[in-house]
Amino acid sequence: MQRIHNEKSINLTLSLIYGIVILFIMAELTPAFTLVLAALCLWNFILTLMNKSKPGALLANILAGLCLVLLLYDIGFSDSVTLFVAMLILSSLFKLLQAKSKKHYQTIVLLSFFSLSTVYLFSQSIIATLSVSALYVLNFAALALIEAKHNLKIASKQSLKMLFIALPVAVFLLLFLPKLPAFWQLPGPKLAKTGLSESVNPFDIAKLSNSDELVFRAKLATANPPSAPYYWRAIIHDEFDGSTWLVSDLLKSQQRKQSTSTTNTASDTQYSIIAEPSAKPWLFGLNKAYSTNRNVKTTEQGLLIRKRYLSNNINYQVKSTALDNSQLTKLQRYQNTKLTDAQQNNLRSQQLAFDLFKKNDTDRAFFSALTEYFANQGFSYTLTPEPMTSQDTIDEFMFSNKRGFCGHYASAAAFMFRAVGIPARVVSGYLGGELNEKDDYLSVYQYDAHAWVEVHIADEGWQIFDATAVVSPERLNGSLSQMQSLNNEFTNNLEFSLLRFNQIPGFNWLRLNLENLDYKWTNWVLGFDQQKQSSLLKALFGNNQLWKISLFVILTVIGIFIVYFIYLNWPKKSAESEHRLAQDFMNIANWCDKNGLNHADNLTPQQYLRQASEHFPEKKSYLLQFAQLYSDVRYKGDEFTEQRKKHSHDLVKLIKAKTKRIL
Amino acid sequence: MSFIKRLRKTNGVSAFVTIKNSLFSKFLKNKHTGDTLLLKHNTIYVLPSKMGAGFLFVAILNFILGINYQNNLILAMAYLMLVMLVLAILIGYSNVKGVKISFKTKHDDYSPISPRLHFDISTTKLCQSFMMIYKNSQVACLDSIDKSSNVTVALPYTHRGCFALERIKLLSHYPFGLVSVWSYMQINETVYVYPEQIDATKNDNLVSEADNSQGDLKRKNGNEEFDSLADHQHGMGLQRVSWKHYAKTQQLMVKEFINFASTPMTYDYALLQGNTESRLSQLSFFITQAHINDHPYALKLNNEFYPMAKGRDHLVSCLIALSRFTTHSESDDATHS
Repeated sequence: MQRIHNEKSINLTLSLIYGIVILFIMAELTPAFTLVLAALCLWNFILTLMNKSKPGALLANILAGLCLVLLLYDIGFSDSVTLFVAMLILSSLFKLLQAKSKKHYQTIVLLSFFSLSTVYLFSQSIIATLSVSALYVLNFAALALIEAKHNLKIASKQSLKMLFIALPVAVFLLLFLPKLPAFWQLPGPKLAKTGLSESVNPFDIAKLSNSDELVFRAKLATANPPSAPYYWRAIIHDEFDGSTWLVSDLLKSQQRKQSTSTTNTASDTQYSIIAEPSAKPWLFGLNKAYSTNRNVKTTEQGLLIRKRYLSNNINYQVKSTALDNSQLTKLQRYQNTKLTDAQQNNLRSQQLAFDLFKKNDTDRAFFSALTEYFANQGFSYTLTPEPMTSQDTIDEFMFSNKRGFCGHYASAAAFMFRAVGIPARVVSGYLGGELNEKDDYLSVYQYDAHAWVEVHIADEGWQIFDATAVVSPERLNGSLSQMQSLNNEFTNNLEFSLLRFNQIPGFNWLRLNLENLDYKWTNWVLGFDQQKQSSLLKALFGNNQLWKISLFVILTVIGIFIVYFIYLNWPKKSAESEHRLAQDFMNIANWCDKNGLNHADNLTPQQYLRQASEHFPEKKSYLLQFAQLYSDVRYKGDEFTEQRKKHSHDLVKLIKAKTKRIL
Repeated sequence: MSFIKRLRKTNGVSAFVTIKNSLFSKFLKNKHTGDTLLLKHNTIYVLPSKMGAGFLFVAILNFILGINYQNNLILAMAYLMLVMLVLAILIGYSNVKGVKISFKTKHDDYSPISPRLHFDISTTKLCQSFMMIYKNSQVACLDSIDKSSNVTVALPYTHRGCFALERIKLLSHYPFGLVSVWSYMQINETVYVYPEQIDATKNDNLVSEADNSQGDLKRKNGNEEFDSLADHQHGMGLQRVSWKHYAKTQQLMVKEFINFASTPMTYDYALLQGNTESRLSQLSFFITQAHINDHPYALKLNNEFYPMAKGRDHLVSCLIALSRFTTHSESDDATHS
C-alpha cells in the first residue's frame, strides 16, 4: 500500500467536488437522500480538517449498506438514471471516506471524472457548465497531487494550463468529428420540472405555482412568420369527467402514430423552436403544426411530440397551417361532445347554455353569444382564485365567483359548448412569449402556461375560443410578465427570481442580457446536433466528402500535437539561462539611461554602476550595494541564494522608486 | 504430489523468466548497457499506465454517454479527456528526454546494511517525478531534478552474498500518473554484501577447541590494555568509541588497545565453529579488526588462500571472498550444527 503526500488537500478537493456535484443534482433527489450525501461529504471534510482518522471498514460498510437501502427505498427503480447517478455518487463518497492508499484515491478521481459528466444529464446551463469545468480543473489537480509532492495551487495551475491547450482541440473534434447516432436507447433521466399536465382541473387550485423557468424559445422565420396572438398548442384534452379535463384513451392511441398527411402549402408559416429539457414529451406548435425533425413526431391533430432525449434541448423547424376545417367523423363528433356523467352536475350552467343556444340558433351565433356573456357579466382575471370544492364547480364559478384564470374559463366554456352539442375540447399550452428585439425571438416561460378551448363549428372547422382573452384582452399580447395590471399579483406569485426586480431598470437590462446569452448558448452549443453539423460540414467541404473531412480532422489534430511536441522540446532560451542578476542589472541600466545618465559605451557593469552612483547621489548607497552583490555573485562565485535574490530585487525597486523624501 | 507441483511451478516460472530475459536482450540490444545512459528517443518507452488505462476507459464511457444522450457537453468532456491523455504522453516523454544518468561508484557494506550505488543525474531542463526501480521495488524517488542531482540508491540486498546488478528501471508517471515513461539501465557491476561482523570473543561458546592445538588463531580475553585514541573509521563498531571524548568534542574517537596477539595471523574458515554464516561473520569481524589495527593477516577459505598482507585492497579482496563463499556441502553443514 503506497502512501501519498498530499492526502489532506486531495481529500478536501474531492469533498469540495462532490459537494458541488450534489448541489447540482439536488433537484432530482429527495431531500432526505440529498442530506445523507451532503452529510457524508461534510463528514469527510471535517475529518480531514481536524486530522482525525477515517472510519473503520466495518462501520463504513454498515453505513454504506444502510444508505443503499435508503436510496432504493427513496428513489426506487422507476427512474433508473437518477438511481444510477445517486448510487455512483454514494459509492464514490464512501470510497473517499475509507480511502487510504494511492490506489484508492486514483479510483475515486477516475470515478469523479464520470460523476462530473452525469451532472450534464440534468443541467446544461451556462452556470452548470462553468462550475463543472472548474471542477474538472480541480479534479485534474487532485490527480496530479496524487503523483507529485507540490501543493494544490501549483497543481491547479498546471492542470488549468494543460486544459487550456486541450480545450480548443476538444472543441475542434466536437465540431468536425462526424457525430454518431445513438448506439442504443438509454432511459432518460426524469427531470423534476414543472410543466403542463395531462389533466386540467383548475378549480382546486388556490394559487398558480408560477415559475420563471424557460420552456422554449421560438425563432420566427423572416420569410413567412406567424402572427400574434401565439397560441402554442401542446396537449388536447377531449374528455371531461365532471371536474377534470383529460386526454382520452382514444386520442392517446391516435397520437401514438405519426401523421401521414403533410400538405405543404406556400401559405404555411415557418419558425423554429428550441425547447428546454422537460419531464414530458409534449412539444409546441402553432395551429396545425408539423415538423420533419427526426426526433419529433407530428400527430393527426397537429401536435408535436418529442420522441426521445427528454433531458436535452431540442431544436426543430416547424411549419403551421390553419386548424382542420374538414367535417368531423361520427366518432370524432361523439368524442368531442360527450359529457357522460358530467351531465348530472352543473345544471345551471347547462341551462344557461341551452338558453343562449335557443336565442342564437347557429353554432357561430352561440359562439359569439358566449363570448359576449363572458365579456359583460362581470368576470375578472386573477392568478389567485378561491378554491371551489362543491359538486357544481362550474356553476359556482359562472354564477357566484366569477374570478379565475385561464383554466376556469376554458373548462367552463368547453363544458357549455358540449352541453348544447357543439364539439369542443380544452387545449393547454402556452400563450404569447417575451420578444427579444435584438435577436428577434420569443421566450416562453412556465408562467405563460395557458388553457383555451377549440370549438368545431360546422363549415368553419376548429376555431379557438378563449374567454380569457375577452376578460383580460392584454393577456393576448406578449408575455404575462409584461402585463401591468397583474404585475403585483404576478411577481408575488413567482418564486424568487430576477423577474421580481423587473421594475428596476438595471436589473431588467441584466436579466435580458443574461437571457440573450443563454439563448445563444442553447442555440449554438447545446443545439449543435447532427443536422447542424452536417450543414456546417457541407458549407465547408461540399457534399459527401467524408474522406476529406476525416483527413482534415486527423491531419489537423496530429498537426496540433506535433506543434505542441516541438514546443515542449524546444531548447528554451529562457530567462533561466541568463542570470537573474544580469537581468536586474539591465533593468537598472535602462532606468539610468532613461533618467539621463551619459556614459561611455563598453563599460563593465562595475564601472557603469560606479558612474551611475556618482550621477544619482541620492541612490548612491543602493547602487553601490548592488555593485557589491553583483561582484560577489558574478565574479567571486558566491551562491545566489534566495536571500540574495530578494535583496537584488528590493534594490532594483528602491533604485527605480521616485525619491520624494530627498527633494 | 504438492512437491511435484511446486517443482513444475518453479520450472514454469523460471522458463518464463528466461524467455522474458532473452526477449529483453534481443529487443533492447545493449543500448541500455553501460555506466552512462542518455534518455532519448530510442531509449525511452511510453505507454499509458494502469491509471491511464482507467482514464481512457472513463473517457470512452463518457463518449458513449454523450453519444446516447446526444449531449454535446458530455461529448466535449470525453474528447477533452482523450486529448489530455495524448498531451500527457507528449509531456511525459518530454519530461524525461535529455536526462543523463551516470553511474559513479558503488559502495559495498557489511550485512545487514545494503550496498549502495551512486549516480549523477543531469538534465537540460526540469524533470519531475523521477523514480528508480530495482527488482520491482522503488529504490529512489526524486520529486524534481533541476540541472543536476546526486542520487544514492540502496539496493534491496541485506544478506551476505555477491550479486550481479540487474536491470534498473527508470520510471516517471509525470504528469497526472496517466502515463508510464520508462527506460532501463544495465550496469555491468557486481555488488557485495559482506558478512555481518560478529565478535565471537563475546561469546565463549564459540571459542574453538582447536584453538590451542593449531596455535594459529589466538584470542585472549581480557589481555588488552588501553593504549591511545584514534579516529573512528568505517567498519569499526561502536563498542570502543570513547563517548567521553565525543561529548566534549563531537568527534568520534576509538579507544585503541594494545593487542598482545598482534602477531601476523592466518584466519582459517575450517578452524571455526558454527554454521557457514556464523563462521563467515566471525572471519569478517577478525579481518576488519586486524585491518583497523593495521595488522597483517592471511585468510584461508577451504580451497582459497589469501596470503599475508595488509591494507585496504587486501581487506576488500578478503571481504569479497567471504561474500562469494559457498560450500558444496552446505546442507551437511546445516545438519551438523
